[in-house]
Order: sequence, then C-alpha cells, then structure tokens
Amino acid sequence: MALGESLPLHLEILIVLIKIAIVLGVFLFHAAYTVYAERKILGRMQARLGPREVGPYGLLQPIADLVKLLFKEDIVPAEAHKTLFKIAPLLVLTFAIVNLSVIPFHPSFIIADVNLGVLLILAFAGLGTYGIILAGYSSGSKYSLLGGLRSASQILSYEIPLSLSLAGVILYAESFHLRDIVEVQVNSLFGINVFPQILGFIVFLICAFAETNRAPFDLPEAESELVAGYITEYSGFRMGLFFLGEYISMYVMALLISICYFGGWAFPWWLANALPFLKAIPPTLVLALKVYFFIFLFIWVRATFPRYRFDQLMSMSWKILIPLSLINFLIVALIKWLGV
Amino acid sequence: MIERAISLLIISSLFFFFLLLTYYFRHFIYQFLSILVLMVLQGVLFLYLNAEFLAAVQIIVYVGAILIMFLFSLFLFPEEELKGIKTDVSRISYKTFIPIGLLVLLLVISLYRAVPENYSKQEFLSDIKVIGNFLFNEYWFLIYLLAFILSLPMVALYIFFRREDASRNN
Amino acid sequence: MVGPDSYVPSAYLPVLIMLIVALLFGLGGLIFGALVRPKAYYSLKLLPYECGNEPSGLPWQRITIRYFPIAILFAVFDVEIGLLYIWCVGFSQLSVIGFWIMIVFLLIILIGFVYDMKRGLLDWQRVL
Repeated sequence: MALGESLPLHLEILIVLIKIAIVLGVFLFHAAYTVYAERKILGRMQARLGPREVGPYGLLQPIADLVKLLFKEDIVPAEAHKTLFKIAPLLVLTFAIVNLSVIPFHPSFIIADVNLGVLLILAFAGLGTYGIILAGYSSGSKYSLLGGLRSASQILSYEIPLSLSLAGVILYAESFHLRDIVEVQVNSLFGINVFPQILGFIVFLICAFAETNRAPFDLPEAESELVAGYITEYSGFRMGLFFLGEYISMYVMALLISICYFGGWAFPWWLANALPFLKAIPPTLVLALKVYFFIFLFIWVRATFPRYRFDQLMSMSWKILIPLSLINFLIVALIKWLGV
Repeated sequence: MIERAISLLIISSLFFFFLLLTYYFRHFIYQFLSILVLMVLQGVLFLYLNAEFLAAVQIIVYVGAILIMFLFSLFLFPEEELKGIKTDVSRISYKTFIPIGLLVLLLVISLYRAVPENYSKQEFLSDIKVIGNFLFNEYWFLIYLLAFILSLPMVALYIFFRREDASRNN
Repeated sequence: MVGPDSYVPSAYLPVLIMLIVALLFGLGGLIFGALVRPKAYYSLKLLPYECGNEPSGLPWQRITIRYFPIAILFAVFDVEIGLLYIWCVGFSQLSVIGFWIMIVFLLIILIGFVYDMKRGLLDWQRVL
C-alpha cells in the first residue's frame, strides 16, 4: 500500500500518472459532453431542438465550444485585482479535479488509497469555493461581488447539513474510506444506505445542488438578477475553466451520492439474488449508470424548479435541513447502538 | 529519513514565507489568503506527524473561519480604506527584520534543545479509533464542558443582537 | 510501525500529484490560449460591466451582511462536526458513557440552536 515498499518510487509515480491520465481523460470528456447533454435535454424539455448544427445531431458542439473559448480574447478589467482575478478559475478547477483522486471507481481502482476519503473531499470542496469568492471579489464589479457574497453565504449554510448527513453514512461504516462505506453497505440489512437513512439522502441531495451552484440554488450566478454573478467579468478560456470546474464537481457530487447512499458499484443483495444476471455487469458500469442517473436528475431539476429567493435559501438550510439531518443522525446512532 | 527532512524543510520555509506575507500585505483579502495558505500548510505539517484526521479537520474548520473573517471585514471596513489599496506591499525596512530574527533565533535554540539525549521512540496515537476511545470514554467531561463553551456564543449573539436592536429603536 | 521521526505520509503522494496535474492542465490551456487568442484592448473594453452605462461609484462597497448571526453559528457547528466524526469512526469502541456524552453534547448544542431560532436570529435581519 505505501509507496516504495514493493516497487521503486519512480515506477509508482508512473503508475499514478497513468491512472490520473485515464481518470482525467474520462472526466473531461464527460464534462464536455454533459454540457451538450444538458443543452439537448433542456431543449427537449422546453420543446426546442437544442444544438444540432455542428456535426450529426450537434455531436461536435463541445469541440466547437472549446475552440471558440480558446480563441476568445481574455479580458482582465482595469479595476480588478489582477493576480487574484487570474488564479481564481484555476483554484476552482484544481480543487474540483483533486476530489477525483480519493474516489474509488472500481473495488481495486483508486488513485490515492488514503483513509480520509470523505473528509478530504469536504476539505477540497471548501477550498474550491474560495475560487468563486475570490473571483467575485477581485473582478471589481458590483454584480461579481454580490455573486461572490452569495456563494459565501451558501457555503456557510449548506456545508453543515452536508457534513451532518454524511456523518450518518460514516457512522454506519465507521470509516472515512469510500471503499469501506460501499463494502459495509452491501452487507447491511437493506443492501443500500437509502433505506434507513432516507432523510439523510434527501438532505444530501439538496445540499449537493447547493454546493455545486446548480439550479434551483444557482443564486451566485442568477442571470436574471446578477447578470452572471461571479463570472460577469470573465471571458474566454477562464470562463470555460469555471464551467469545467462546475461540471466536474457535479460529477463528484453524483459519485458521492451513488457511493454513499446507493451502494456504489454493487447492486443490493436482494436485487442481485432475485436477478442473477445483474452480477455479470462490470462494477464500473454499474457505478456509471447510477452516476448518469443523478446527472440527469441535476439537469431535470434545472428544467423544472424555479430559483429560490435568497432568504428562503438561507432559512431552508438552517430551519429545515439541519434539524432533519440531526434527526437522521440520531436514528442511525440508535440503530447502531441497539445493534439492529 | 532524508525525504522527511527535505519536505519538512520546504514546508516550514514556505510557512515562514507566508507568515511574512501576512505581515507585509496591506489589503485584507491578501492577508486572509496568506493565513489560509498558512492553515493548509499547518495541515500538511500535521500529516507529517501522522495526524491525518487533525490535518483534515484543521483545513475544514479554518476554511470556514477565514471565510467568516472575510465576510465580517467586508461588513465592517469603510469604503474609503479600500480605495487605493490593491497589491500594495508596505515598505520593508530593516526594523521589521528584528522580530523575525528573534523568532528564528528562538526557533533554532528550541530545536537545538529539543532533542533529548536518551530519546526513545514512543508509540503514537495515529488510529482515529484509538483517539475516539480516549476522548469519549476517558475524557468525556471535557466534551461536556465544550458543549457549554460552544453554546455560549449562541446566547451571547442574542444579547449582542438585542442591544443593537434597542439602540436602533431609541 | 514507523517511528515518529521517520514517518512520511506517502499515501498522500498521489493526491499531491493529482493537484499538480490539475493545476498544469488549467495553466496549459491558458498558456495555449494566450498564444492563439487576439489581444486588442482599449480602455472602454476594460471597464466593468454595468449594463452598458458608465460604472457609477466604487465597485467595493460596504455591504450589509444580513445573515451575520449565521456566520457565528457556522463556526460552532463546524467544531461540533469535527468531534462528531471522531465519535462516528470510533463508535464500536465506545462505552455507555462514551455513547451518551455525544447525545448530551448534541442536545446542549440543539437547545442553543432552538433558542436562537425562537429568538429570530436565523431570520433575515432587517434591523441592521
């Protein structure tokens, strides 16, 4: 497990680099095509066609977008704090990508095999939001500042219920490692964590929307009130980095939901016993299917729900979600204590 | 051994560098960022002490705390003080190096005296489960005390808030 | 077990490598973009966006944060969660008192929380 025990260090680093290349390639491809899927699904839900000009069915649209973003002018406002303005999108993207290193995609495929999986994701999510807040502050525009402040308040409100609902999962598995969480879950009474912890799942899902700044909680970038929020002053590839970061963190959240609450790469035992052919599906594909479902849910919610008002958002987190997640936690603690 | 020494040296010199930056920056957002980097570096130092849980909690808690500090300084700083200042770094004079030199001297002295002659390797608590066992089964009274300490700001907040409210109404 | 004076957290090396690779990816895109994109700046283009008008006033204004009690409560809950996570991981080794002390802890925090909620500190602050 520890580096340098079995293999020489440079070989280990090479293996890690290859793993990172695979994961990064897969996720960048997915992020690009999630933008396409989102536009297509949103279009269909609003009785439009969505992108269809570039390539067959508009399939080359992400590539066209990328080329366009690369060739756009990069404007740094004269009023801005230039250094902060330039590093903010890099912070968002970097801390979104790093989360992928502690997530297991297969029982034996994980980039960094550390004990602190979930905690590291929480820490990196917190650090990544500094990118958004710095972008808002450094732009030198009123809209950006308001967007950044809204993002800050959203983090303040939704970090707590997110961690509290995760505490239930961690308590059930008694481990921070996501692989342990899946293994304990599969051998549990119901096979998936949703059933004893349905409240925790709902809270986590709502907080996942808020943490990734997705609709209906996309107040930091609400286009009808704040132009584009913290990305108002950004242009070209820097704006693209923000979007890439947002989509990758969406995938991280979908992965966390499917690993923590839906059994990750395994089907619950009762389903696998009832339908034995399900065992033939490779584990990564099972995980991918669950993740695709939650990504679709993200898009579906965006097409369906209206945006929350700012004070509603804050009071919902504190008055509803935190008590609910505490109740969920106490239920799990009692279940564990009574040894059910 | 040598990897540990080299990486600790790099981390601690970065620590000193950002410590200086917190002092030299004039604009609060740069100061807060330097403090944030300091806290993350401190987390990395905890990793080297095999206290990984403490490292993660350090980062999570201080990320939130610095965010609150940032919000409150936006709240409290008057507009005029923010006008001209951007990356502006205050003038470095030889006087500022005196406290730093004293600090480094103190550090060197303490490092020199830190290694005892009959040094024995102790078993150290790295397992989080063992820490939990110690904390909750043996030092449970501290947790009980901490609950009251933590509920203190909640009540104090209300008193502060009421007073502010009353002064507005008068 | 490795002694405290020679321990290197080598399990975290892949995280560090991932961090560097992610940073290089973003930087590489920006550098490549800097080579190919046009650079035709003029002073009007560098003004902050304000719906087509000349920007009025300073961009960094003093902002009333109407949710400041929440910011304080956040710090309390953050510390609480740190303790809660240790308790969660070490659950199977807890004694009876170890189990109940956390419940009592949560209850005391919850009483303070409910007190603040009843006093209207979690509402939108109109006073300040």
